[in-house]
Amino acid sequence: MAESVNVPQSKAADGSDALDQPDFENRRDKIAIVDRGRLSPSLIALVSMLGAAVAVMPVGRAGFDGVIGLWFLSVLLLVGVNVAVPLDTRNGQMVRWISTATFVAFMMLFPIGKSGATMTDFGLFAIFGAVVVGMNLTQGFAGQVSLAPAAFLGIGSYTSVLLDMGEEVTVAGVTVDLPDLPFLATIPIAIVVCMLLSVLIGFPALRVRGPWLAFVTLAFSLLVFLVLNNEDGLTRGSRGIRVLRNDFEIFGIDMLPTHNFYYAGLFYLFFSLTVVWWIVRSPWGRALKAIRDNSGRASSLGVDVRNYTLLGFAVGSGLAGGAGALYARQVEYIEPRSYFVNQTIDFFLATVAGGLGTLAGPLIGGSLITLVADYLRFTGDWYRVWFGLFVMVMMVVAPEGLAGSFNRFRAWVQKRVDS
Amino acid sequence: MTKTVDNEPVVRVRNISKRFGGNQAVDDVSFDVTKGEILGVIGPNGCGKSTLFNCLLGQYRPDNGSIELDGIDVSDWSPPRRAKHGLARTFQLLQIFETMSVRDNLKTAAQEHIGSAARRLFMRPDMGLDGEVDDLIERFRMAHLADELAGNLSYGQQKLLDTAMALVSKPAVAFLDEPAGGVNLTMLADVEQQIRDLNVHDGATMVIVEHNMEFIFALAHRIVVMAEGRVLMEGTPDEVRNDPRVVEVYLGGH
Ligand SMILES: Nc1ncnc2c1ncn2[C@@H]1O[C@H](COP(=O)(O)OP(=O)(O)O)[C@@H](O)[C@H]1O
Ligand SMILES: [Mg+2]
Repeated sequence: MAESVNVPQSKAADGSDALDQPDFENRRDKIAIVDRGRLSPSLIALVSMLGAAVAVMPVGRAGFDGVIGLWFLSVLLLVGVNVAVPLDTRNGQMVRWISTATFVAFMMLFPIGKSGATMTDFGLFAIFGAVVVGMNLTQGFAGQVSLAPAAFLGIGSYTSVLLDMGEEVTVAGVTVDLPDLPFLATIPIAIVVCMLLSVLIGFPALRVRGPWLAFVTLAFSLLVFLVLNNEDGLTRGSRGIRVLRNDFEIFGIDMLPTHNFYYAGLFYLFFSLTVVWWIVRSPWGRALKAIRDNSGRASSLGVDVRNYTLLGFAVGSGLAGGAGALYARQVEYIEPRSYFVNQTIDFFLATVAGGLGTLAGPLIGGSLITLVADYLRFTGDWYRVWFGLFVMVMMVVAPEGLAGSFNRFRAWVQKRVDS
Repeated sequence: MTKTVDNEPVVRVRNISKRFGGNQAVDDVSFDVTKGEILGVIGPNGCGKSTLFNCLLGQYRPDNGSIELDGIDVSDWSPPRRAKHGLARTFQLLQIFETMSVRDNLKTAAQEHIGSAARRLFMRPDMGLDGEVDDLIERFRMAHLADELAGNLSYGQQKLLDTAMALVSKPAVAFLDEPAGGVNLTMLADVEQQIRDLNVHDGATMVIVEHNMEFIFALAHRIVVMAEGRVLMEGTPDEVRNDPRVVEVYLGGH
């Protein structure tokens, strides 16, 4: 084991020349995901459409109105244009940016006239969306499965809440006075704490190739749950903590009412998307893609597979941590149960269903686990079953997820148009 | 052909051995690589050439021996670290990034040599490599394929790309494992021409494992002959051609 750092495992002991190949098992499937890893506002437009569809669903809380109807039509139009216009042309670029702008505008204007309950759902969508965006960086772009996003969400929540209460806590018999920091200041702290922890657990797990990170993060999740549940002096155990929402103002505007808080979540979602977009389009993105394509070759060309993968994992975990800080204020009450592994399963399904290695996929997936789930609430806990079934069927018929399928559909249409 | 070589060794290989179970694949191999030369490594199938490369470039950990680059012992370094310090390679079987464009394949091969990891995060995606990469693509006569996915190229073109990837970062020494393997006759002359060109005009230092005798005898300044994991002899192409031991290895054993 000690000798297998970046060493191809000698699988074919028969001495065939295939031995000379670095790392076959690890070569990623060559599913034809068109423009994998590029900003694809057309997909984002698709998400908007989904959001709009959810909003106009008659069983929903939002109700139908003319504005949404108009919106719905224009999104259909945009998606149509997106499918038809090749991405690489100047018109295509224009379409991309218009689509992005439309998406942003939609998300910004959506709260007007909506009920508090709807906005609670959408606030949750924005926050969980950010978690899925981060998970997608780890899984879709860095190619490693982390089963700890819910744990990092929890660490982020507790870090942020505890540092914002100014109370006395006792850990292992030592009593400490915690500061009462402003809420905003606790967000970067939550991010950094989660990044450091993920480096700590990721470094040994990524020393050798294989699914070790999945195992380690699963164990870590259980450990985090146990600590949250049992360290009574620190976390108040299973009784949970009622979160005080009292110090979040920007430019004199109180950000805590539901409608305003939605914007905080939305901003964080945009922030997460920007971070991932930036990484993916930078030389790091190329390195990550090369690692997914053929990690043995990448390593031989100077790409430090372990470091890049670790960074992808750390940033993904950090984004989950920051989301945790916001989540705590959104739900106003935190308890260990909210951060158990079943929450990770939701995130995982969302990441896969939305489409790995795309930028819009997490948004689609995120809306599935928050918005659509809400409409399925009448099924009780069964929604996880339906959702799980849906994802299983999709993995068989469209393994690249909704976003990937859309890309494929567009490629198919454009081929028709070309010939 | 101009074969100009000065005498400063860049890479010093000492006593490399590697055993797989009961099979001594590489047995106490030593040689020097001189700056600016093309060193051929030949020997019958299974005599340990690829295993030797894997030991030198860090894919395998040798049981014994060391490799020095510019007087620094790099035997304990990881493959990416060796690559960043100027030891580049290709593998015997084609290894390219099939889902990336030709241009991106070459940029990937070049980018880790520029700046620190932190700086790379904030550099433009092309990292100012466009000119350099396009030059190389031009030289390899693949300009019309620059944006094509590497997986869509013909085998010969992929092989050429693979070789180009090892050389784009201007490594101190490039280790090429059968660059002409499986390449058809028309492409073969092309590969030979490109390699010679890189050596003569750019002063690229290369160690080349090759089966095609004509090819390697025409290119190499010096040749190491291996048999059953050991170095059988070392000399100029002419010396090797006329050595009875070499003839025996090739005609007798296998
Ligand atoms: N990973 C490995 N596991 C077991 N045996 C190996 C491995 N790699 C190479 N060998 C053996 O080492 C010997 C040398 O192989 P190789 O270096 O590929 O030869 P060459 O490249 O000269 O044709 C062969 O007998 C081969 O079977
Ligand atoms: Mg070989």
